[in-house]
Amino acid sequence: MSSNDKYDRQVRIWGPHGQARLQNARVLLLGCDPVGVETLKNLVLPGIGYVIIVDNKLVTEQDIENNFFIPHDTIGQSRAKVVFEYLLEMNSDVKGEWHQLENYNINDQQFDLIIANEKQFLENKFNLIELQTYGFIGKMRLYSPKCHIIESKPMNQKYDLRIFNPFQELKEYFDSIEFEGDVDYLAHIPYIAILYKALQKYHQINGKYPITFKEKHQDFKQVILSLCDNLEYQYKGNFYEAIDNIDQAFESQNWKNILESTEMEQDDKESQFYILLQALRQFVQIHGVPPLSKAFPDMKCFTQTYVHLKNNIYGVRIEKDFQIFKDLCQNKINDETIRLFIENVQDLKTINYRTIQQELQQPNQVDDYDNDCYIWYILLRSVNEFYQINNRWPNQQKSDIQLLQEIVVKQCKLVNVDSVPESHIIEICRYEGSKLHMIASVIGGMASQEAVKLITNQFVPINNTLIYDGLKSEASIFEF
Amino acid sequence: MNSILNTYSPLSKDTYNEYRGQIMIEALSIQKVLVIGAGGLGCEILKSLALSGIKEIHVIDLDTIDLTNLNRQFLFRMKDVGKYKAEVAAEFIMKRIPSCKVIPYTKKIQEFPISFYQEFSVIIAGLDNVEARRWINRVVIQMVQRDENDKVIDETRHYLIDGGTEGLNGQARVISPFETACYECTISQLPKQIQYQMCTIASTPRLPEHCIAYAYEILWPKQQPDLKLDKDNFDHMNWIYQKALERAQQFNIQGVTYKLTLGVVKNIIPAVASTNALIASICTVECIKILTGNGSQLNNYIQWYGQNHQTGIGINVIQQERLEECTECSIQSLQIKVKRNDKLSVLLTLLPQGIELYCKGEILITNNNIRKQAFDHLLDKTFQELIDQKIIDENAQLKALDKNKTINLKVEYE
Repeated sequence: MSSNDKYDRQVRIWGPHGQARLQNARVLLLGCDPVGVETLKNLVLPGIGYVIIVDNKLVTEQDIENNFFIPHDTIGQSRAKVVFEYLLEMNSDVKGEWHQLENYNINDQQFDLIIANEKQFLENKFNLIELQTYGFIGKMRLYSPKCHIIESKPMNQKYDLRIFNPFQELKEYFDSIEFEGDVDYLAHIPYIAILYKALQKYHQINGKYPITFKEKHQDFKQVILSLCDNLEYQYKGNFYEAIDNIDQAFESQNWKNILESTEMEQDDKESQFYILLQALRQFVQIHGVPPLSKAFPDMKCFTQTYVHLKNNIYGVRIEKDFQIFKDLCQNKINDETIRLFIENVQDLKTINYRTIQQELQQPNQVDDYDNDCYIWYILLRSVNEFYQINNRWPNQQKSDIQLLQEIVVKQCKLVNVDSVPESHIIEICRYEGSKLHMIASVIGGMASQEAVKLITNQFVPINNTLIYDGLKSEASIFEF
Repeated sequence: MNSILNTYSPLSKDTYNEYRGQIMIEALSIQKVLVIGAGGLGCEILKSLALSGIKEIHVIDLDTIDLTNLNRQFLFRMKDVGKYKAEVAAEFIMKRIPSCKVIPYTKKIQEFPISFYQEFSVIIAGLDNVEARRWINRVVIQMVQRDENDKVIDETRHYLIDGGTEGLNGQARVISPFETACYECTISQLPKQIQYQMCTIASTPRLPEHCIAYAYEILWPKQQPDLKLDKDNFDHMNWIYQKALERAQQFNIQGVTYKLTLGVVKNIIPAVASTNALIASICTVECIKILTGNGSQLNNYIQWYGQNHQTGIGINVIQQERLEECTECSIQSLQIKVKRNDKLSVLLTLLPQGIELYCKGEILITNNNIRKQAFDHLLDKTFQELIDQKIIDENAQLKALDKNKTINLKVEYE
């Protein structure tokens, strides 16, 4: 065996600090329907800290048919107890408790996440994932009272290389680079120096810098190529690297979004994120740019050049900026968090969630949709209302279809939709509240991804609803 | 599941509505499904199939359980490390759901005859490598038979459902041979693997990865010429790590760790329970829909990006097109005239070199050296003898495969 860490494959995604957050998290599961249990399964496996499972029902035949963590010989036992035992049997690192209760008092408690798979009315104090599966249809709804993401982890990392606006030491370095010499030398000029040189040359020719897409990706590209006219193709690797990275030549303004867009609630002003944003605001006022972040891409050049750039030129500046930024934080934030913040300053993200109560009263309207998911959303609202009135789910009998149709008309009005196809109404009546394991398992997988995002405060969670249509194998995200 | 199969569905295929009810429930319960791979996806697929009314599942995996599987392959425990995945998984499922029979195999998929695969109308693959995917894709294509009008005989069409994950992202596809794109049709779209340039590794390292690649690709073969590197051996990997560290220090490069060494040398793809669960279950949903006629099929490729900076999740459903010049599923027809008393070996002179010839899904001629001998005795038989012995049908088409294409062979007897 070459690795002795059973979490190795996931720590490579969210890092040891992400793993630590998981292992310190308290998660509450309300209701032991398959979808919630499957979600929790995918959190027990990666080693969530503490789980509390609440359910007041006893195991029935149906549970055995659709719930993997309710074995065939547990009929009549407490669902909460059975699910708790069989989930935690998978991973001895996970601790927790179970309660056979109808109403669980969450006051005076702290949770990192609540997973609710039955209609529950909860305060908007905690991260919440609400789940429902209905026949071939599944739904997940997220809510977070404050969602400020430092490590949003875009697929393509952006770098802040200051090619367009170099600081003093970097400018001196760039200006010292000659574009004449032997092929070995030319073939090892780092692409950031090539982009800088090309910018100067473009400006000389055109009296301005490239702005439009065409100017950047055609005219500017030609300028880069003109710098290596005399080189044979096999020595131009670094120049083509420069062309591949043309976008790096221009100032990244992404960090501005967060300063402009964020509306902070009053009670948020004590939060770390708020303090960090204030520090960023002050830093930018003084320096015109955000603190330099440490991400530095590979580039074809000699080892000494690369190490010199990374450690002495960028590295020294990063440390300087860090100290200044740290002072602006006035000892309220630890160094590790400050470094993380600076590293991700181009990709910070906040999400303001609508509450579930707001959605129930008036969902946001959706203007264009290209599949059936929106229809299923309206129909899910309709069958849920049907259940509230009749205390049972609608079936395919004429009278039920008619009753449901009346509710659908009302729900359609609420979201300004003319009507939904009758075929879909008949289809949803077919399900009569049935919960298919495979659909629960799909939604459970999706929901546990979002759960990890909310708990680790990494990656970007959805805002705020995903509808999965297993009948057609489609899925869409809506903000309701 | 069963209660749903009783009801009328306006959004499902006619076959479903015709047979819904008891017939459908029984039909589902006698279906056998083949699952290839009992790893991250496989464990989930087995569970979801067993809880969807499938009563007999066959599962192939030659791998054994590693400690690092336990964060997601939920049918395995610490005590199972080192045992065969397929066997432990099968046992676990049958214990939890006694109504479902799971039959494990611990051989390579390439070691099963075509007749084995013909037992299953749906094959679900949870594989981790391109080669095995290409192989099983070829099998489902080979199994297709055509009638005298060159039309595919429906009962010979076996579906392949293929899933894959990487970190928070994944994809799933449904392959219906000669109807949708096959795996080979889209092979050019595979992302390229990161490869470090040799000159960088040898003379201008800049990243810790370059130093590790140097220790692994250059130093190990040079300094341990007689020892094959075992990537699961701690001593071997530690040797690579120490050498990489030395080189990094020499060049003043930071960041070489044991963990990174493992990642680079073993080309480790990060994996989590959540992504495996959702991709595996999407595959299962497709399987159940094929077997019952419910809803409509995924058409035909879904990409899932759990890592999406803009919207949190990115979902693309793409209809991948068949490739006209696909080396597997584009068809070439060839007519050959022979005499009834010609020997089968005459085909070797009439057909392109290096082919495998099939009839009714069974191999007749092969240039594959390992298996060649088993078929040598057929070469000396005449066509009439082969027909008499029912090894080939007089009217059936033969299928010739070589590395690049499938040829439908119509033999005419003079």
